[in-house]
Amino acid sequence: MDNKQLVTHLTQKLGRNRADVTKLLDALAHVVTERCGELDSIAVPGFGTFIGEKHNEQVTVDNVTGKRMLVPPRVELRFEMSRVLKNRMKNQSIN
Amino acid sequence: MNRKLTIIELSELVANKAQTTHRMSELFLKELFATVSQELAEGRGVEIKGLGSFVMPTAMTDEEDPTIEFAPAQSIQDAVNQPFAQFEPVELSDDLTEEELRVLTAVDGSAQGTEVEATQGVVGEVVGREEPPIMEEPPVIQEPPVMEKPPVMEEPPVIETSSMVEEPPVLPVMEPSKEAESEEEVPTDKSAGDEVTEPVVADADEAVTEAAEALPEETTETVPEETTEALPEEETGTPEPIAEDETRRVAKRSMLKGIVVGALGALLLTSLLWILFGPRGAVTGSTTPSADTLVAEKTTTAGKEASSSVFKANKPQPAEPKKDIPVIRDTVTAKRPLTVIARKHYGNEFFYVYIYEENKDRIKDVNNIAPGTEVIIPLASKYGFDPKDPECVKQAQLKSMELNRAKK
Repeated sequence: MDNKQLVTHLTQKLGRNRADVTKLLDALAHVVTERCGELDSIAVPGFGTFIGEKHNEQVTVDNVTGKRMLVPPRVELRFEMSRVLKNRMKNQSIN
Repeated sequence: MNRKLTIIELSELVANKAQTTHRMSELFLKELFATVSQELAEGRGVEIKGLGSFVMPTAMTDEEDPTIEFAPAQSIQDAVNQPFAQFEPVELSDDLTEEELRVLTAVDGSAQGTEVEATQGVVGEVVGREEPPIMEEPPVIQEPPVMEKPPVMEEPPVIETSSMVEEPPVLPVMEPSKEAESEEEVPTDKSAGDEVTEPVVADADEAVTEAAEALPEETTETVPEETTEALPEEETGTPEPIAEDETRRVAKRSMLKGIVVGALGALLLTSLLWILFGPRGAVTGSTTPSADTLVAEKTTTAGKEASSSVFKANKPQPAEPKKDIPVIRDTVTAKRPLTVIARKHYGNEFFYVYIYEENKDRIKDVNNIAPGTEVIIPLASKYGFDPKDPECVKQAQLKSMELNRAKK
Protein backbone atom coordinates (compact mmCIF):
# COMPACT_ATOMS: atom_id res chain seq x y z
CA MET A 1 0.00 0.00 0.00
CA ASP A 2 1.56 3.27 -1.03
CA ASN A 3 0.98 6.70 0.43
CA LYS A 4 -1.78 7.61 -2.03
CA GLN A 5 -3.79 4.49 -1.27
CA LEU A 6 -3.30 4.98 2.44
CA VAL A 7 -4.57 8.56 2.30
CA THR A 8 -7.57 7.49 0.25
CA HIS A 9 -8.34 4.72 2.69
CA LEU A 10 -8.10 7.07 5.66
CA THR A 11 -10.29 9.76 4.06
CA GLN A 12 -13.01 7.14 3.61
CA LYS A 13 -12.72 5.83 7.13
CA LEU A 14 -12.55 9.25 8.82
CA GLY A 15 -15.01 11.02 6.55
CA ARG A 16 -12.59 13.96 6.04
CA ASN A 17 -11.06 15.39 2.90
CA ARG A 18 -7.58 14.53 1.62
CA ALA A 19 -6.08 17.83 2.70
CA ASP A 20 -7.02 17.19 6.33
CA VAL A 21 -5.63 13.67 6.28
CA THR A 22 -2.38 14.81 4.60
CA LYS A 23 -2.08 17.55 7.20
CA LEU A 24 -2.49 15.02 10.01
CA LEU A 25 0.05 12.68 8.43
CA ASP A 26 2.54 15.51 8.10
CA ALA A 27 1.93 16.46 11.72
CA LEU A 28 2.59 12.89 12.78
CA ALA A 29 5.83 12.76 10.80
CA HIS A 30 6.88 16.07 12.35
CA VAL A 31 6.14 14.91 15.89
CA VAL A 32 8.01 11.64 15.37
CA THR A 33 11.01 13.53 13.98
CA GLU A 34 11.00 16.00 16.84
CA ARG A 35 10.63 13.49 19.65
CA CYS A 36 12.97 10.86 18.23
CA GLY A 37 15.53 13.59 17.47
CA GLU A 38 15.56 14.18 21.21
CA LEU A 39 16.08 10.46 21.73
CA ASP A 40 12.58 9.87 23.06
CA SER A 41 10.55 6.87 21.99
CA ILE A 42 6.92 6.73 20.95
CA ALA A 43 4.97 3.64 21.88
CA VAL A 44 1.83 2.77 19.93
CA PRO A 45 -0.10 -0.04 21.57
CA GLY A 46 -0.79 -2.95 19.28
CA PHE A 47 1.59 -1.65 16.66
CA GLY A 48 5.08 -0.95 17.88
CA THR A 49 7.54 1.63 19.12
CA PHE A 50 9.45 4.33 17.29
CA ILE A 51 12.84 4.74 18.95
CA GLY A 52 15.44 7.45 18.50
CA GLU A 53 18.77 5.86 19.21
CA LYS A 54 22.13 7.57 19.33
CA HIS A 55 25.23 5.84 18.10
CA ASN A 56 28.49 7.35 19.31
CA GLU A 57 31.39 8.06 17.01
CA GLN A 58 33.49 5.01 16.31
CA VAL A 59 36.52 3.85 14.44
CA THR A 60 35.92 1.31 11.72
CA VAL A 61 38.62 -0.66 9.97
CA ASP A 62 38.44 -1.66 6.35
CA ASN A 63 39.56 -5.29 6.34
CA VAL A 64 40.76 -5.13 2.76
CA THR A 65 42.78 -1.92 2.72
CA GLY A 66 43.46 -1.70 6.45
CA LYS A 67 42.38 1.93 6.47
CA ARG A 68 40.83 3.24 9.62
CA MET A 69 37.91 5.63 9.44
CA LEU A 70 36.47 7.72 12.21
CA VAL A 71 32.71 7.59 11.78
CA PRO A 72 30.86 10.54 13.31
CA PRO A 73 28.02 10.05 15.79
CA ARG A 74 24.51 9.65 14.42
CA VAL A 75 20.94 9.20 15.52
CA GLU A 76 19.06 6.25 14.14
CA LEU A 77 15.29 6.15 13.90
CA ARG A 78 14.32 2.60 14.67
CA PHE A 79 10.97 0.79 14.77
CA GLU A 80 10.31 -2.15 16.99
CA MET A 81 7.12 -4.03 16.28
CA SER A 82 4.93 -4.97 19.21
CA ARG A 83 4.23 -8.48 20.36
CA VAL A 84 0.57 -8.13 19.34
CA LEU A 85 1.43 -7.30 15.74
CA LYS A 86 3.98 -10.06 15.67
CA ASN A 87 1.38 -12.57 16.81
CA ARG A 88 -1.10 -11.32 14.24
CA MET A 89 1.46 -11.77 11.52
CA LYS A 90 2.32 -15.23 12.77
CA ASN A 91 -1.32 -16.29 12.86
CA GLN A 92 -1.88 -14.84 9.42
CA SER A 93 1.01 -16.80 7.97
CA ILE A 94 -0.20 -20.01 9.62
CA ASN A 95 -3.70 -19.52 8.26
CA MET B 1 15.43 12.62 26.55
CA ASN B 2 14.91 8.87 26.72
CA ARG B 3 11.25 9.32 27.56
CA LYS B 4 8.63 6.93 26.38
CA LEU B 5 5.62 8.77 24.96
CA THR B 6 2.22 7.14 25.12
CA ILE B 7 -0.39 7.21 22.37
CA ILE B 8 -2.32 9.87 24.31
CA GLU B 9 0.65 12.21 24.43
CA LEU B 10 1.33 11.53 20.77
CA SER B 11 -2.27 12.32 19.89
CA GLU B 12 -2.06 15.62 21.80
CA LEU B 13 1.13 16.60 20.05
CA VAL B 14 -0.30 15.73 16.64
CA ALA B 15 -3.50 17.65 17.40
CA ASN B 16 -1.50 20.73 18.37
CA LYS B 17 0.66 20.45 15.31
CA ALA B 18 -2.20 19.89 12.88
CA GLN B 19 -4.42 22.37 14.73
CA THR B 20 -7.33 19.98 15.07
CA THR B 21 -9.21 18.55 18.03
CA HIS B 22 -7.75 15.85 20.22
CA ARG B 23 -10.62 13.62 19.33
CA MET B 24 -9.89 13.96 15.66
CA SER B 25 -6.18 13.23 15.99
CA GLU B 26 -6.90 10.26 18.28
CA LEU B 27 -9.31 8.81 15.77
CA PHE B 28 -6.86 9.41 12.96
CA LEU B 29 -3.97 7.69 14.77
CA LYS B 30 -6.14 4.75 15.73
CA GLU B 31 -7.36 4.32 12.17
CA LEU B 32 -3.89 4.81 10.67
CA PHE B 33 -2.12 2.22 12.82
CA ALA B 34 -5.01 -0.22 12.46
CA THR B 35 -4.73 0.05 8.68
CA VAL B 36 -0.97 -0.30 8.67
CA SER B 37 -0.95 -3.29 11.01
CA GLN B 38 -3.70 -4.91 8.98
CA GLU B 39 -1.65 -4.47 5.83
CA LEU B 40 1.46 -5.79 7.54
CA ALA B 41 -0.40 -8.75 8.99
CA GLU B 42 -1.52 -9.60 5.49
CA GLY B 43 2.08 -9.53 4.38
CA ARG B 44 2.06 -6.27 2.46
CA GLY B 45 4.36 -3.35 2.97
CA VAL B 46 3.14 0.17 3.64
CA GLU B 47 4.66 3.48 2.67
CA ILE B 48 3.91 6.64 4.63
CA LYS B 49 5.15 9.84 3.04
CA GLY B 50 7.44 11.83 5.32
CA LEU B 51 7.77 9.01 7.83
CA GLY B 52 9.13 6.01 6.02
CA SER B 53 8.12 2.65 4.77
CA PHE B 54 7.40 -0.65 6.46
CA VAL B 55 8.48 -3.49 4.27
CA MET B 56 8.43 -7.20 4.65
CA PRO B 57 11.82 -8.87 4.59
CA THR B 58 12.54 -10.39 1.23
CA ALA B 59 12.96 -13.86 2.69
CA MET B 60 10.82 -14.74 5.68
CA THR B 61 13.30 -16.95 7.45
CA ASP B 62 11.45 -17.84 10.60
CA GLU B 63 7.68 -18.21 10.63
CA GLU B 64 7.69 -18.34 14.42
CA ASP B 65 9.35 -14.93 14.67
CA PRO B 66 8.19 -12.70 11.84
CA THR B 67 9.85 -9.30 11.37
CA ILE B 68 9.26 -6.21 9.39
CA GLU B 69 11.81 -3.66 8.30
CA PHE B 70 11.25 0.02 8.81
CA ALA B 71 13.12 2.34 6.48
CA PRO B 72 12.79 5.95 7.63
CA ALA B 73 12.34 8.55 4.91
CA GLN B 74 15.45 10.49 3.93
CA SER B 75 13.92 13.76 5.14
CA ILE B 76 13.25 12.39 8.61
CA GLN B 77 16.69 10.80 8.76
CA ASP B 78 18.37 14.10 7.90
CA ALA B 79 16.21 16.02 10.38
CA VAL B 80 17.02 13.64 13.21
CA ASN B 81 20.74 13.82 12.43
CA GLN B 82 20.79 17.60 12.15
CA PRO B 83 23.11 18.05 15.19
CA PHE B 84 25.78 15.94 13.53
CA ALA B 85 25.34 17.28 10.02
CA GLN B 86 28.71 19.04 9.98
CA PHE B 87 30.66 15.86 10.65
CA GLU B 88 31.96 13.58 7.99
CA PRO B 89 33.81 10.31 8.25
CA VAL B 90 37.50 11.04 8.58
CA GLU B 91 40.27 8.72 7.58
CA LEU B 92 42.71 8.11 10.39
CA SER B 93 46.38 7.96 9.66
CA ASP B 94 48.63 5.89 11.88
CA ASP B 95 51.81 7.41 10.51
CA LEU B 96 51.02 10.87 11.80
CA THR B 97 53.28 11.74 14.71
CA GLU B 98 52.26 13.96 17.58
CA GLU B 99 54.44 16.81 16.31
CA GLU B 100 53.08 16.71 12.79
CA LEU B 101 49.59 16.82 14.23
CA ARG B 102 50.52 19.83 16.30
CA VAL B 103 51.86 21.71 13.33
CA LEU B 104 48.77 20.82 11.31
CA THR B 105 46.40 22.01 13.96
CA ALA B 106 48.46 25.13 14.49
CA VAL B 107 48.28 25.92 10.79
CA ASP B 108 44.56 25.26 10.82
CA GLY B 109 44.08 27.39 13.88
CA SER B 110 45.91 30.39 12.50
CA ALA B 111 44.45 30.07 9.03
CA GLN B 112 40.84 29.56 9.92
CA GLY B 113 40.71 31.05 13.35
CA THR B 114 39.14 27.95 14.78
CA GLU B 115 39.39 27.33 18.46
CA VAL B 116 41.89 24.64 19.11
CA GLU B 117 42.88 24.66 22.72
CA ALA B 118 45.74 22.27 22.37
CA THR B 119 47.50 24.43 19.83
CA GLN B 120 47.70 27.46 22.01
CA GLY B 121 51.17 26.58 23.13
CA VAL B 122 52.27 25.99 19.60
CA VAL B 123 50.81 29.25 18.47
CA GLY B 124 52.76 30.91 21.23
CA GLU B 125 55.92 29.35 19.94
CA VAL B 126 55.21 30.46 16.46
CA VAL B 127 54.68 33.98 17.68
CA GLY B 128 57.90 33.77 19.56
CA ARG B 129 59.63 32.85 16.37
CA GLU B 130 58.01 35.52 14.37
CA GLU B 131 58.73 38.34 16.69
CA PRO B 132 62.50 38.28 17.01
CA PRO B 133 63.12 39.21 13.38
CA ILE B 134 60.81 42.16 13.84
CA MET B 135 62.65 43.18 16.96
CA GLU B 136 65.98 42.92 15.31
CA GLU B 137 65.20 44.61 12.08
CA PRO B 138 65.43 48.13 13.42
CA PRO B 139 69.10 47.88 14.25
CA VAL B 140 69.70 47.24 10.60
CA ILE B 141 67.89 50.38 9.62
CA GLN B 142 68.84 52.66 12.42
CA GLU B 143 72.33 51.80 13.37
CA PRO B 144 74.22 52.64 10.24
CA PRO B 145 73.75 56.42 10.49
CA VAL B 146 75.13 56.40 14.02
CA MET B 147 77.87 53.94 13.25
CA GLU B 148 81.21 55.52 13.70
CA LYS B 149 83.72 54.76 11.08
CA PRO B 150 86.20 57.53 11.64
CA PRO B 151 87.37 56.22 14.99
CA VAL B 152 88.48 53.25 13.05
CA MET B 153 90.60 55.55 10.95
CA GLU B 154 92.15 56.86 14.11
CA GLU B 155 93.00 53.40 15.21
CA PRO B 156 96.52 52.93 14.03
CA PRO B 157 97.97 55.87 15.94
CA VAL B 158 96.14 54.77 19.03
CA ILE B 159 97.61 51.35 18.98
CA GLU B 160 101.08 52.56 18.21
CA THR B 161 101.26 55.09 20.96
CA SER B 162 99.23 53.67 23.78
CA SER B 163 99.73 50.22 25.14
CA MET B 164 96.12 49.56 26.13
CA VAL B 165 95.12 46.12 27.19
CA GLU B 166 91.67 46.11 25.63
CA GLU B 167 92.78 46.93 22.16
CA PRO B 168 94.32 43.73 20.83
CA PRO B 169 91.42 41.40 21.57
CA VAL B 170 88.88 43.84 20.18
CA LEU B 171 90.63 44.66 16.98
CA PRO B 172 90.72 41.32 15.21
CA VAL B 173 86.99 41.00 15.69
CA MET B 174 86.35 44.43 14.35
CA GLU B 175 88.20 44.21 11.11
CA PRO B 176 86.17 41.47 9.44
CA SER B 177 82.90 42.78 10.78
CA LYS B 178 83.59 46.17 9.35
CA GLU B 179 84.33 44.72 6.01
CA ALA B 180 81.10 42.79 6.10
CA GLU B 181 79.12 45.85 6.91
CA SER B 182 80.89 48.28 4.70
CA GLU B 183 78.91 46.83 1.80
CA GLU B 184 75.83 48.61 2.96
CA GLU B 185 77.24 51.53 4.82
CA VAL B 186 77.21 54.91 3.18
CA PRO B 187 80.20 57.18 3.13
CA THR B 188 78.13 59.93 4.76
CA ASP B 189 78.36 57.93 7.94
CA LYS B 190 81.92 59.00 8.24
CA SER B 191 81.03 62.62 8.42
CA ALA B 192 78.44 61.87 11.07
CA GLY B 193 81.06 60.00 12.99
CA ASP B 194 83.41 62.92 12.69
CA GLU B 195 80.91 65.16 14.27
CA VAL B 196 80.56 62.84 17.18
CA THR B 197 84.20 62.32 17.82
CA GLU B 198 85.45 65.86 17.33
CA PRO B 199 83.59 67.42 20.22
CA VAL B 200 84.78 64.62 22.38
CA VAL B 201 88.36 65.37 21.51
CA ALA B 202 87.78 69.07 22.10
CA ASP B 203 86.27 68.39 25.48
CA ALA B 204 89.08 66.15 26.36
CA ASP B 205 91.59 68.78 25.30
CA GLU B 206 90.02 71.31 27.59
CA ALA B 207 90.08 68.88 30.42
CA VAL B 208 93.68 68.12 29.77
CA THR B 209 94.80 71.68 29.77
CA GLU B 210 93.11 72.48 33.02
CA ALA B 211 93.85 69.42 35.10
CA ALA B 212 94.94 66.08 33.90
CA GLU B 213 95.71 64.22 37.08
CA ALA B 214 92.14 63.70 38.31
CA LEU B 215 90.92 62.09 35.13
CA PRO B 216 92.90 58.88 34.80
CA GLU B 217 91.14 57.21 37.69
CA GLU B 218 87.73 57.84 36.23
CA THR B 219 88.49 56.76 32.79
CA THR B 220 90.11 53.61 33.89
CA GLU B 221 87.01 52.90 35.89
CA THR B 222 84.73 53.48 32.99
CA VAL B 223 86.62 51.40 30.53
CA PRO B 224 85.81 48.06 32.08
CA GLU B 225 82.22 49.16 32.43
CA GLU B 226 81.98 49.81 28.78
CA THR B 227 83.51 46.52 27.81
CA THR B 228 81.34 44.57 30.18
CA GLU B 229 78.26 46.34 28.98
CA ALA B 230 79.10 45.73 25.42
CA LEU B 231 79.44 42.03 25.97
CA PRO B 232 75.88 41.28 27.17
CA GLU B 233 74.60 43.15 24.20
CA GLU B 234 76.46 40.80 21.99
CA GLU B 235 75.00 37.91 23.87
CA THR B 236 71.47 39.18 23.61
CA GLY B 237 71.89 39.18 19.89
CA THR B 238 72.98 35.56 19.78
CA PRO B 239 70.81 33.49 22.13
CA GLU B 240 67.89 33.18 19.77
CA PRO B 241 68.70 30.32 17.50
CA ILE B 242 66.15 30.93 14.80
CA ALA B 243 65.40 28.41 12.20
CA GLU B 244 64.91 30.72 9.28
CA ASP B 245 68.04 31.78 7.44
CA GLU B 246 66.94 35.34 7.22
CA THR B 247 66.41 35.76 10.90
CA ARG B 248 69.72 34.10 11.57
CA ARG B 249 71.40 36.54 9.25
CA VAL B 250 69.72 39.46 10.94
CA ALA B 251 70.77 38.14 14.33
CA LYS B 252 74.33 37.70 13.12
CA ARG B 253 74.42 41.19 11.75
CA SER B 254 73.05 42.71 14.92
CA MET B 255 75.61 40.76 16.87
CA LEU B 256 78.40 42.07 14.68
CA LYS B 257 77.06 45.54 15.15
CA GLY B 258 77.03 45.09 18.87
CA ILE B 259 80.66 44.09 18.70
CA VAL B 260 81.52 47.01 16.48
CA VAL B 261 79.71 49.46 18.73
CA GLY B 262 81.43 48.06 21.79
CA ALA B 263 84.78 48.15 20.07
CA LEU B 264 84.21 51.71 18.92
CA GLY B 265 83.31 52.74 22.42
CA ALA B 266 86.50 51.18 23.69
CA LEU B 267 88.43 52.88 20.91
CA LEU B 268 87.01 56.25 21.76
CA LEU B 269 87.96 55.73 25.35
CA THR B 270 91.46 54.70 24.50
CA SER B 271 91.90 57.65 22.20
CA LEU B 272 90.63 59.85 24.99
CA LEU B 273 93.07 58.20 27.34
CA TRP B 274 95.83 58.64 24.88
CA ILE B 275 95.06 62.29 24.55
CA LEU B 276 95.03 62.61 28.30
CA PHE B 277 98.00 60.44 29.06
CA GLY B 278 100.27 60.88 26.09
CA PRO B 279 100.96 64.57 26.30
CA ARG B 280 100.53 64.65 30.05
CA GLY B 281 104.20 65.19 30.74
CA ALA B 282 104.33 68.09 28.34
CA VAL B 283 101.05 69.52 29.53
CA THR B 284 101.90 69.37 33.17
CA GLY B 285 105.18 70.96 32.33
CA SER B 286 103.68 73.82 30.37
CA THR B 287 100.58 74.63 32.42
CA THR B 288 100.76 76.44 35.68
CA PRO B 289 101.34 73.89 38.43
CA SER B 290 99.36 75.92 41.00
CA ALA B 291 95.89 74.60 40.07
CA ASP B 292 93.32 74.87 42.84
CA THR B 293 91.76 71.68 44.13
CA LEU B 294 88.33 73.23 43.47
CA VAL B 295 89.21 73.76 39.85
CA ALA B 296 90.41 70.21 39.69
CA GLU B 297 87.13 68.97 41.05
CA LYS B 298 85.20 71.02 38.56
CA THR B 299 87.19 69.68 35.75
CA THR B 300 86.72 66.15 36.93
CA THR B 301 82.99 66.66 36.80
CA ALA B 302 83.42 68.22 33.41
CA GLY B 303 85.44 65.25 32.41
CA LYS B 304 82.75 62.98 33.72
CA GLU B 305 80.19 64.77 31.64
CA ALA B 306 82.42 64.56 28.66
CA SER B 307 82.99 60.86 29.08
CA SER B 308 79.33 60.21 29.81
CA SER B 309 78.39 62.17 26.72
CA VAL B 310 80.70 59.92 24.81
CA PHE B 311 78.88 56.94 26.21
CA LYS B 312 75.54 58.45 25.45
CA ALA B 313 76.60 58.81 21.87
CA ASN B 314 77.52 55.15 21.74
CA LYS B 315 75.34 53.20 24.08
CA PRO B 316 71.81 54.21 23.16
CA GLN B 317 72.16 52.73 19.71
CA PRO B 318 71.34 49.15 20.67
CA ALA B 319 68.66 50.37 23.06
CA GLU B 320 66.96 52.66 20.56
CA PRO B 321 65.37 49.97 18.40
CA LYS B 322 63.23 48.91 21.32
CA LYS B 323 61.59 52.32 21.38
CA ASP B 324 61.02 52.62 17.66
CA ILE B 325 60.10 49.06 16.93
CA PRO B 326 58.28 48.89 13.64
CA VAL B 327 54.69 48.44 14.66
CA ILE B 328 53.26 44.98 14.14
CA ARG B 329 50.01 45.27 12.29
CA ASP B 330 47.20 42.86 11.69
CA THR B 331 43.88 43.06 9.95
CA VAL B 332 40.55 42.17 11.48
CA THR B 333 38.41 39.98 9.26
CA ALA B 334 35.08 38.27 9.70
CA LYS B 335 36.83 35.05 10.64
CA ARG B 336 39.59 36.70 12.62
CA PRO B 337 38.20 38.94 15.32
CA LEU B 338 40.42 40.64 17.88
CA THR B 339 40.39 37.62 20.14
CA VAL B 340 41.82 35.38 17.45
CA ILE B 341 44.48 37.96 16.65
CA ALA B 342 45.30 38.22 20.34
CA ARG B 343 45.64 34.49 20.56
CA LYS B 344 47.96 34.50 17.60
CA HIS B 345 50.24 37.20 18.93
CA TYR B 346 50.13 36.61 22.67
CA GLY B 347 48.87 33.05 22.97
CA ASN B 348 45.72 34.01 24.84
CA GLU B 349 42.54 35.60 23.58
CA PHE B 350 41.94 37.74 26.66
CA PHE B 351 44.84 39.99 25.75
CA TYR B 352 42.69 41.48 23.04
CA VAL B 353 41.91 44.21 25.59
CA TYR B 354 45.41 45.59 25.12
CA ILE B 355 45.08 45.56 21.36
CA TYR B 356 41.82 47.41 21.78
CA GLU B 357 43.48 49.92 24.13
CA GLU B 358 46.22 50.50 21.60
CA ASN B 359 43.72 51.05 18.78
CA LYS B 360 40.98 52.88 20.64
CA ASP B 361 41.06 55.69 18.11
CA ARG B 362 40.11 53.45 15.21
CA ILE B 363 37.80 50.97 16.95
CA LYS B 364 34.44 52.42 17.90
CA ASP B 365 32.83 49.29 19.27
CA VAL B 366 35.06 46.47 20.38
CA ASN B 367 32.28 43.96 19.79
CA ASN B 368 31.55 45.14 16.29
CA ILE B 369 34.69 45.89 14.37
CA ALA B 370 34.38 46.35 10.65
CA PRO B 371 36.24 43.61 8.76
CA GLY B 372 39.35 45.01 7.13
CA THR B 373 40.21 47.29 10.03
CA GLU B 374 43.95 47.35 10.50
CA VAL B 375 45.08 47.27 14.11
CA ILE B 376 48.45 47.81 15.72
CA ILE B 377 49.63 44.98 17.94
CA PRO B 378 51.37 46.55 20.92
CA LEU B 379 54.33 44.90 22.54
CA ALA B 380 53.52 43.09 25.73
CA SER B 381 56.11 45.23 27.51
CA LYS B 382 54.26 48.41 26.56
CA TYR B 383 51.35 47.49 28.76
CA GLY B 384 53.51 45.61 31.18
CA PHE B 385 51.95 42.19 30.91
CA ASP B 386 53.48 38.81 30.42
CA PRO B 387 51.39 36.57 28.13
CA LYS B 388 52.63 33.48 29.94
CA ASP B 389 51.80 34.68 33.42
CA PRO B 390 48.40 33.36 34.60
CA GLU B 391 48.08 36.42 36.83
CA CYS B 392 48.27 38.68 33.79
CA VAL B 393 45.72 36.52 32.00
CA LYS B 394 43.40 37.01 34.95
CA GLN B 395 43.96 40.73 34.83
CA ALA B 396 43.22 40.83 31.12
CA GLN B 397 40.09 38.81 31.78
CA LEU B 398 38.95 41.32 34.38
CA LYS B 399 39.68 44.15 32.00
CA SER B 400 37.67 42.44 29.33
CA MET B 401 34.74 42.07 31.72
CA GLU B 402 34.96 45.73 32.65
CA LEU B 403 35.08 46.65 29.01
CA ASN B 404 31.95 44.67 28.26
CA ARG B 405 30.16 46.16 31.27
CA ALA B 406 31.11 49.65 30.16
CA LYS B 407 29.75 48.93 26.69
CA LYS B 408 26.45 47.84 28.11
